[in-house]
Amino acid sequence: MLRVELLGEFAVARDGVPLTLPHGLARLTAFLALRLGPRQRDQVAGTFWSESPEEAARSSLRTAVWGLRKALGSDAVIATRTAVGFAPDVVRVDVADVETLVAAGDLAGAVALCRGELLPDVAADWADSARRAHHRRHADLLDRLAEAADSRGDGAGAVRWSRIRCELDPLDEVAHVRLLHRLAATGDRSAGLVAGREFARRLRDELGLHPGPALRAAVAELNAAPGVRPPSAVRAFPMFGRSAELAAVTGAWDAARAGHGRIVVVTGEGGIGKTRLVGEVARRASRVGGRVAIGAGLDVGGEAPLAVWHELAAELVAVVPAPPPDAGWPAELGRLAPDLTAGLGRSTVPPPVASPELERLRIFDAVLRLVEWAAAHRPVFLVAEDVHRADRASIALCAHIGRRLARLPVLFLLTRRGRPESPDVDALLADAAGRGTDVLELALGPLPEPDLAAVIRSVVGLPAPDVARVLANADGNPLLAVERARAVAGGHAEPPPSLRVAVRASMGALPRNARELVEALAVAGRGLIPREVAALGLADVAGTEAVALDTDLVQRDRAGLRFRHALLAEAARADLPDPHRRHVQVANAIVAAAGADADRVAAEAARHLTLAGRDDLAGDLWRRAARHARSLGALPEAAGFWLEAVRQAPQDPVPRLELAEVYAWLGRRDDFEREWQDALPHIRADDLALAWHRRGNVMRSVLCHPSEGTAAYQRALDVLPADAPGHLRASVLAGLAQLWSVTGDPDGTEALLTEAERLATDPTPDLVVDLTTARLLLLIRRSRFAELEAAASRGAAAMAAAARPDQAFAGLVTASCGLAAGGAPDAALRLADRALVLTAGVAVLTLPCLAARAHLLARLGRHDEALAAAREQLALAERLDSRRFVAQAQGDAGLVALAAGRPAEAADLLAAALDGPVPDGDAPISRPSTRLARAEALADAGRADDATAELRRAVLEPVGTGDQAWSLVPRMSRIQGRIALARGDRATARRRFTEAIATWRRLTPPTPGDDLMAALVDLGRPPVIGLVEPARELERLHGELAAVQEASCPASP
Amino acid sequence: MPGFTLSGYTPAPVEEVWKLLFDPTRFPEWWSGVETVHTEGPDRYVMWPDGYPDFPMPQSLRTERGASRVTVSCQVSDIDVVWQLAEAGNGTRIEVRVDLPDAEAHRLASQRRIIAASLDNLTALAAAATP
Repeated sequence: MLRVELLGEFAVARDGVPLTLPHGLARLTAFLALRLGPRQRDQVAGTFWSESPEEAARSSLRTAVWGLRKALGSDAVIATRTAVGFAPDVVRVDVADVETLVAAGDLAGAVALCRGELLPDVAADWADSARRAHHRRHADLLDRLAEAADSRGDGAGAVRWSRIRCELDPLDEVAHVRLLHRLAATGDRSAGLVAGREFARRLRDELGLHPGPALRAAVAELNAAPGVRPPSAVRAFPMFGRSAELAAVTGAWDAARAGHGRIVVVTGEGGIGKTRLVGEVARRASRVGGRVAIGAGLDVGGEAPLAVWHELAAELVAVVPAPPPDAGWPAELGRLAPDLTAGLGRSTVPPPVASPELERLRIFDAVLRLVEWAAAHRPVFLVAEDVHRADRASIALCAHIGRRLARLPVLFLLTRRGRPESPDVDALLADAAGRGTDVLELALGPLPEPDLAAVIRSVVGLPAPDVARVLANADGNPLLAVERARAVAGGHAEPPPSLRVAVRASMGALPRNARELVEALAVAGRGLIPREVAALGLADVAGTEAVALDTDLVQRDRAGLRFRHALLAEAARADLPDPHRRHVQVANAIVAAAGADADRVAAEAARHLTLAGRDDLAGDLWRRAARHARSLGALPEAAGFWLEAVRQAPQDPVPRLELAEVYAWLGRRDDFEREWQDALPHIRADDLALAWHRRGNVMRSVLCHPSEGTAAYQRALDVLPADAPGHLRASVLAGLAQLWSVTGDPDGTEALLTEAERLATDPTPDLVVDLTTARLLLLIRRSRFAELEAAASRGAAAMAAAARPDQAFAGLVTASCGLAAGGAPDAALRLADRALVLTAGVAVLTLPCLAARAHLLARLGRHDEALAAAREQLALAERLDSRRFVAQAQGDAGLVALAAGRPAEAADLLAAALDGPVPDGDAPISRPSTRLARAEALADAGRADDATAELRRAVLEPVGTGDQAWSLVPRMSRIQGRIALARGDRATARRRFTEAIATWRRLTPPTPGDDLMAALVDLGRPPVIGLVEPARELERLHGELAAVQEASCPASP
Repeated sequence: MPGFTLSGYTPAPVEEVWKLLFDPTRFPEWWSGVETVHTEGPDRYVMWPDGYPDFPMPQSLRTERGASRVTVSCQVSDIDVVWQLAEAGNGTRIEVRVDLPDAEAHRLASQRRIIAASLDNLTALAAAATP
């Protein structure tokens, strides 16, 4: 198959291998590819050799066609006496693919293929004509998509398509009028006014025209409503110098476009030109059809976790096509910010899950899927600016994405200053490089004087002596040089010695309103969106913005108004006459503008109020910020925000208790205890029971301390007032029942549960989860497996009705394991598969379901399906970047491979599970059992010595109750038999198998329910795979013994 | 709390000693003074001392998340016997630590004799089990 790309950059590939064609052949290929099938030779010759005599032209065409057949393959080229062309069944062209998708009704898919201008580098009439036709086609498709979104009431979608349409034709007035109407219809008047003003300015600057009546009417309509007035334009300066760095980054971009994604890090001091370099590459990437997203976060720190990624995701959401209807990740993305989900045309955000770690993994996976979706049809240029000051969660997500770039058409560029050092970023880069992602590090030094002079001359017209004075002491820093030049051009006798003096000079002459706006932008430390600027309470916002923009200290970009450079903002902040007032003003504005999404900006606003000395106003915001951080799984940030809340209200027990719980999730048990005990004296008598109940929950689930949990629940019952609401008493009893169902007396648990269920007349979702879970665990504990399937189904329905579908799967998986232990693998598989359906698209929840499915299929002898499920589990775990999940999945896959008779593969997987590094403790696998399984795999693979060594390592592993210690001795004897067989020593094999059989017969195994519970406590999950069943072990041993004895008998005569 | 520590060596590999320690039903084969053992579950058993058929001694067998340590605790007398194994060349070094409650201090010498004999038996039995 010959593939020809005419959109964006011209490219030809044969069977996936890129071809390089001489200039003439490339043009002829492009011409013929515009319309597949035979073309008249005379027409082609006349088009390409119009200056030559007819016969000479025909001869040149013959030569060219010969060259084409040789270069592209003779089957691709039609060549008859009168015609020449490309064979439609051999050649595929992207322009033709666009039409195929349009014919199939997939307009969004067709637009996704329009990656840039058609043949942008070919200057010929035929190319111009084709280019215009394709441009019209592209525009028509975008209009149709916007209209379709209009007709189904999808205002956001209509605006999105309309914006892309305007980007395609920046001077098309009709398209802009439609965009303004659509923005007005969605209520975003500020954005409408901005778009209208920018269009009008573009029209004036580039064509010398004024907008027509339709656009003026649309603007007037938007102005009629209260809101923000439009801004001035962005000033873009030409780029000088940096050719080597630019070549390096564009080279990386070219490699990324070809599918070999990579990371580029640009390091340099503030003002040295990092942002300018990024801007230039972004412009080039955009020109060839790339999707560009840039995020920075705050200049001044203290923002919400993942702030950089909120910006990046918002930029990507604005340019990607609508995801498929069955994709689950758009809803998951709403955990980061609901507006992202809305921007993708969805409305629902799934409820939070109990564990912050799972929450974090879900968000990370959703963002990764957004990046993958953005890169599915076009290359992506992703930029995280100034990562040296990014929050830790943002850097962790950068690492998560960075590790997966090697096979994606994504260039991920990070900028940072050289000082202070950023070890988190260094770790990110080392990690990505270690995972196979190419990392290129560039250092931007001082700009050479000739280039710096060119920069200055491009900004202000200064005589040569003045340019020389400006250059002196500018240290090759373009930002400083430009500001010094501006000051001189503005009448200063001498260039200001520092940026601060230059900024002071620019701001000094501003009228009050504009100065106030510029100060607010300096204090904000980031760009302010139009809604936020409007909420600052300034008079004549549009006029004020225009004056502020004239200083060139600030600029407008896609998001809103911002300082042109962080160093300029820093200089402005240093000279603020009344910073406290400005901080309060900005805090109020960003909270007001955020509306229902105010939790996302709460940390930022709280920091402003704290800096303003208004702790009285900041306290509530710190609490909201902490809850938001916790909902993102960003625990260190949540702890920091709760600490602020504690600092501002030391007598209030609520923030201390919340802080204690975050410490518990972080595994900092001593800190948990300290904060909890400090809070205790301040808790009101009426709230004591609730506090003890929450402590019980933490001890039961997070810290896994059953005796402390029991004590806390008992204390809650002791202090519960007689008239306490029934649901609170029921919650305490349910928590206690859940604890006892694992470790306590089953009869007592039954009584507790019955009482809790009686009291729970109107249960909360959490109570439904606790009651259902306790009931399932108790059934397993009592080995009443026959009742499990019905109970799990009832529980799943109850959890779904209580809006906790995320918990429903857990009950199904637990019950599935119970049924497996009870010898009902078919029923167990049904439940595991139902759990899989419930968790589809949410990787972190799908893992245990796949593990259960793999085990059960292996148990039923369906080994190929079991292997497929185990491999899917492993792939998902690797995608999540959780070493613990990966180790668990490797262990599971190893056991499945062993059961499937693939010992070599099993040995490798089990070794990986045992040996891989796991932060924060051991992998959740039974180490002695895993070593025994590996010894068996090695023996079966014929590696007897290695098997013996592994067996020896097994006995030196620590053993806990979850390791099914009772079964280790006979299992070890059996594996010694397998090793003897591998050595060809049948006598020893017989002896070991016999010994194993005798031991199995002697020992008293626990009830399956108790065994499951032990694993649940020790490993955090039931022994989904590797459950030891004595009857099956005996049956297998008898078979193996019989086989050895048969092989030992002399052959019959 | 009175107590003592003994150690020994057997040419048997560590897994053979480990199997004997983890299987209480085999204690009568090597633990001096133990005549019969009846298991009651994966980690609990009852033993009857030599010559005392009407004197059951419930025991608990506990494995710990520490290197190869098996603790046998008498539920009647509160005597703890902790066995610990380590590879030594091709063989195994065995260390046993016995702690007695103060009330049982008078049994220190007899316990030392019993455990020393048991240690000898254990090393010999493990060596014999090795092919």
